[in-house]
Amino acid sequence: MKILLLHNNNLPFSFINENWDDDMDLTIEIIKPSTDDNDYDVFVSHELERIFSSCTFDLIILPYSFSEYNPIEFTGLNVAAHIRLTPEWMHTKKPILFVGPEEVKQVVKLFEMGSLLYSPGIYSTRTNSLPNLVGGIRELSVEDITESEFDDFLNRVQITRPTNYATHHSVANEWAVMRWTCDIINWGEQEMPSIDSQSFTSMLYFKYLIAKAGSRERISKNWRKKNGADPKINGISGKKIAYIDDEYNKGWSVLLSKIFENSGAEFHIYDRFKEHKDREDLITDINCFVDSIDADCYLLDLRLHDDDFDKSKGEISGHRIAAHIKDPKINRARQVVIFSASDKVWNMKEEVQIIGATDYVLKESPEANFSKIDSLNGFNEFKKAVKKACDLSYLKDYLNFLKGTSFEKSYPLNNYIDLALLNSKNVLNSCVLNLNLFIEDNAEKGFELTDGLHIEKKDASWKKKIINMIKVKKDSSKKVLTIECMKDISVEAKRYKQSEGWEDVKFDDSHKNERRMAKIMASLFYYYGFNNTDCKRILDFRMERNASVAHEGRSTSYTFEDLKLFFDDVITQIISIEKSSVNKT
Amino acid sequence: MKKILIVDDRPMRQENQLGKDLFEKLCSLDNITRDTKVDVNDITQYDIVAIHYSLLANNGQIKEIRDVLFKNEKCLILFSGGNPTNRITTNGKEALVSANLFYSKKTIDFFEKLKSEEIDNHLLERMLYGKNWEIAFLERYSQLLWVNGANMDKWPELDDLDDEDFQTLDNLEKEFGRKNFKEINEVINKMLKI
Repeated sequence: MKILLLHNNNLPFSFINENWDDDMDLTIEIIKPSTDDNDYDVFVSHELERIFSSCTFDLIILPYSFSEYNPIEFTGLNVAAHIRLTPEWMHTKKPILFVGPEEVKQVVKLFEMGSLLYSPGIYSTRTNSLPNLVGGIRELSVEDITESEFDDFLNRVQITRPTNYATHHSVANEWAVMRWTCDIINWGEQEMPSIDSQSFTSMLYFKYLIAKAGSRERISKNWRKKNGADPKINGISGKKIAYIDDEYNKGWSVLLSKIFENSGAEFHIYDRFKEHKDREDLITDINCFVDSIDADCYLLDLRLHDDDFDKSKGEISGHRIAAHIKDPKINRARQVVIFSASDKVWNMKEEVQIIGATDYVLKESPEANFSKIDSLNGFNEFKKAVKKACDLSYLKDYLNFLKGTSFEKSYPLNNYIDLALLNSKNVLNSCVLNLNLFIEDNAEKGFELTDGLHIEKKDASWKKKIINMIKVKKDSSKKVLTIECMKDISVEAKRYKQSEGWEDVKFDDSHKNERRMAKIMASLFYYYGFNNTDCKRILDFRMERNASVAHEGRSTSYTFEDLKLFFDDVITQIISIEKSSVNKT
Repeated sequence: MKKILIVDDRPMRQENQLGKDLFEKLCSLDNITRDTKVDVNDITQYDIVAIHYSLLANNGQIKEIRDVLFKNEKCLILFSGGNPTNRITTNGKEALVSANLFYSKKTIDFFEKLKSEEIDNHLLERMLYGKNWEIAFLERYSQLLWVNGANMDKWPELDDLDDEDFQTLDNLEKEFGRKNFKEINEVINKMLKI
């Protein structure tokens, strides 16, 4: 029989120094933390890892406490619980014998983990005589406990939740970062980020949660290789991500840095939590960080300070920072993704609406007992949320671009931005209407129709014939096929166009729209400098508004991406020209 | 009256963990000084110095503080939110406790007691175990007898004891009277109402 005897010079001399029977193969180990071993779980895990890595034992003997000074700290029970709850050491079901002068009922009364002593496979003796001890061991069953007996142990034992994990420091932080890093992401040829999870994985409470949750689902390397998620988030290259989370140093900064580096994005971490102990001071400093980064996506935890513990909705640090990020006076189109582990956060969908966040991602916790597929989905949701925020961040750039121009308060442009922020197909028609409205409002500058045939630049001596400018050839879908404009008409050209099926535009009252379009086109071409292709594009856009969106009630075929391109090419050019003309004056 | 210094870099944590009433009580005790930083030159005026562990772990002051306090026979409490295991070390001069336990009614009541009552010994045991603090010593008494081969009703051969055990046993005998293993057990059971 292989026996492990653990002690700290607090067992009878004979137990440690005299020969046991020949058939009892004894290994004796001292468990003695130094004064600097403040984390007992880490210390114990480290010691037992060493002991169990080299040998398997049939029986483990230990005192109730390893303290030479204080017998009622009962660290022996703590050690026994570690042995039961650490599958990696392969001794979870081995019999454990406590030796000491204490009566079991005394221990149970004095120590909340004492109920462990009533669980299967746990024995005790008060003898201080080696022959009696050896005789007693011979009568013990040294069989491993069964699965159902192990469940009985789990139901009986009470493991205290550390204070840090009782409030917003959910155990989910360490758990989720470890799960994603080690189990879910397929790092391929890359080196897996090194997450310092020792203090977490050594924690007895963590081990207990894992065991309670029906044991952490083992994920093989093969599964990860075949089904694991790509660490790269496509389509965010060049984007800026800002990360605000007081738990950033629990491994998140390392993991997220690697993910965003892979994705070609710039990653900024707020890391001045320790310098700003006061909550108000912290919020002010984070707000400065937010403004200094001008990120495409702000990844934001909600409870960032201990004092958030008892704060009501809206008063929590994360809420206040989100309100600053979305402050209309600065830029309401900045994108926030809530990234929280808190089990005390209220309904997240409601949170997203209140904050105006793009999306939310909950860090999974061991209590939730996610399957590997759930975890994989969780990570993919995270990638999707970040991508969505980055995709929408162009609207923030638009608002920045408008800032300080005469268009800053432009009703149609602000309308368009607010609608586009909703990111819903239902608002696309309204977006088309608003951008058209902006062009109508602004692209008639400097020109007047004189006789229906000529456009005249105000305060100038020249005239241009515009008749062809608005002569459009349409196909059955009513799209503009070509536009021949911006130059004086020649007879040859006119003939050619007639032969191609062009119609002359009429300038009677029933054709006001065409006349107006002529004015707009002239303005776009002569004043804003658009080329023929872009003028045609604007006309197409106008047609879409007239023929489909405004009057026929059908959904536009334009996508947000089309509208973005239109804004980038057309609207920004109009605004730039205005900006430069203002600068010149 | 015993003077206590509590050093926590996040003072609001005290109110959050204690709750409003207990926090007000803590603030009202004039034998307690609260601070956010620790000044090594100033700590010997206190009988108990309680410090949030992370504050010391980050600045490397821990050895210096231990040296100063223990040389002057003062007690040190290191409390931490990440620590669920309560321990007393350095012959009763140092305690590592969870923040939960430190910021609790039990502890505040004990500090209040230190204001009005003259208590000179076993401060940390009294703080940690309340009315059961003597059990820590009775169990030690019992353990010393047990380790050194005592029977239920007999003391061990004193000649076999090493100096340290002999001295400890002698001190315990002075404090709790000469008791054998069985008698100590009975006292403990009586205290625990077993």
